[in-house]
Amino acid sequence: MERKRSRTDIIHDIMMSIQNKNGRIKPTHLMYKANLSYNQMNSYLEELLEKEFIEKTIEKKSNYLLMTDKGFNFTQKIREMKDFGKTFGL
Amino acid sequence: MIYLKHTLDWFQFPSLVIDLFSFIVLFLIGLVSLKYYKLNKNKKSLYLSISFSFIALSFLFKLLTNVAMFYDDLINPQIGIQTLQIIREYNIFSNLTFTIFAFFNLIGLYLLYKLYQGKQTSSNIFLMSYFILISTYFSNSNYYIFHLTSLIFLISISAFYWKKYSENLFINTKLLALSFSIISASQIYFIFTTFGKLFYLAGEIIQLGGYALLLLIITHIQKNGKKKI
Repeated sequence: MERKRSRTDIIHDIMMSIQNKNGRIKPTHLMYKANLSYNQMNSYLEELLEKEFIEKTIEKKSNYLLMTDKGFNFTQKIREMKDFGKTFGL
Repeated sequence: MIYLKHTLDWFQFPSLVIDLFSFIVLFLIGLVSLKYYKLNKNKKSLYLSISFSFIALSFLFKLLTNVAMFYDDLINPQIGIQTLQIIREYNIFSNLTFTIFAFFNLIGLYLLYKLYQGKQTSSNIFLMSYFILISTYFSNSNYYIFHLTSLIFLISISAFYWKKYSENLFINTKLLALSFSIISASQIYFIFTTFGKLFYLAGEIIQLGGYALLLLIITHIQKNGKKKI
């Protein structure tokens, strides 16, 4: 059985989903890519927006989420941390 | 126990450099682990950081013991010049720093071992503490007891990493298991330090290989974080 995702895992999945879409994604797509409910996604997005890891933009009447440089660096750190944890069996 | 007295003269300075390198690598892992703890609040990261910091600190005391001897030999190459009082004071100093080295090293290894063994009973912790204290107490007179205890801890830790590798098949875990196995092997040579000057030399070089591999793993992790973009 798959273990429950931790908070860090979910943030990592959100950031990776945005990054894999060249740093720009629609919120509905993010919800499916990161495997989150609408409420879950909103609560995480609120935090990520507040920390300036992502920003909202409107293009052709559609909402988009953009990854900032700060978010990009944070994603790198999370990836390193996950590799470190996996290496040391944490 | 003063290691430098049991090795070849030309290897005394390189030996200090190897210990300094080992200290830097261990300290770096402790620091990186602490950085990740601040990010994910995973207590295991904190325990790992504390374990590696203890081992790093122990190398600082080993360095202190050996640096003092190294410079003492450079300044006073003929023992006859020194007064008996200076020699006695030096012996007290080196015995003390070596004892602290052994204690911190074993505490660090035990914490690392405990991290992977899960929750332990209080009697188990009591028993382990007793072994650590006994090994530390005899570290100066019967130094091999200290290395034997280190070897047992290191083998257990290596075995855990090999088991982990069989589960996750992650290349970094394989390298980690390999580096701890190499460091374990170095302890076997240290056990026989007084039997010949080449034993300490071989032990130090093998240990250097183990710590160099640990450094490689850390740089590999940092590099990978940037690569998968």
